[in-house]
Amino acid sequence: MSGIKRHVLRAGKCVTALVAFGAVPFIINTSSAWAETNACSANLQTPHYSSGAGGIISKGTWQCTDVPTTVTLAYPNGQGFNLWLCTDKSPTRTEAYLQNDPNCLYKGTDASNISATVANATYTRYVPPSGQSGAHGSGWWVACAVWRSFGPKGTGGPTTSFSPIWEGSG
Amino acid sequence: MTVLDAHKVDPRDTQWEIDQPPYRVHFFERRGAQQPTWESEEWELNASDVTDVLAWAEATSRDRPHVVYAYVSSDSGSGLVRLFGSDPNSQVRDD
Repeated sequence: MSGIKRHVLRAGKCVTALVAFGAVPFIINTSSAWAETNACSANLQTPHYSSGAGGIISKGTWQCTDVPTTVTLAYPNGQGFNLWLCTDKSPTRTEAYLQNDPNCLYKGTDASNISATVANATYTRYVPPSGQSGAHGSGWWVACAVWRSFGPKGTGGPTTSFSPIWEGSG
Repeated sequence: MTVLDAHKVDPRDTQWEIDQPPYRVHFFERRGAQQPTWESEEWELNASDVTDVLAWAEATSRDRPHVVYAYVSSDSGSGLVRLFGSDPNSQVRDD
């Protein structure tokens, strides 16, 4: 890009994981032991290589209709927003499979709370989170989040959300 | 024709402005055949106007899909305001 409008623009590569809000949401796969009472939904992007992060990342977004709501990812209410790499075969998309298969490796986590104060706004988390390098390895990549909501309609979930699986390396 | 919802407003319902926000441009390149994903390349730009950013993004894209955001920081953290394009990694995909 050097030389392009340099007098007007100052451009430099940045790390995607620095970002905390934004993006277009979509629902991949969600299962609940109990109803999601605060009308929250999670959408986990297909893991992909980010040159800014220097490795594989996945972006997760949460939206809640009922606010203010706190979405908790941390144990014991949740199991975190986790990035997994399975090295032998495409995994079954269950948290138990990922945790129990010795060929599925844990490649990053975000267990921070999400404070949703604006109805239907998009709240973003990355895994691995900002400040950590993107993940590396070869195989089948998938992101998984187990989370609960605490809001005006009570306690929702726990809810398990998955990204699509991507076979690749980075 | 794109449908727009245009209506007049009272301008006094905002509390702050950012005259020249930093911009973020994310380019995407398809990777993988059977289970494709979109590799991303992220840039930050300081420019006087978004039209310059859009022109830079178009000139730099090499026909790659791209998204242009304004980067905004507040007490609750940093965030992105989408100005142009959409993230192909956010498209629904069946496994």
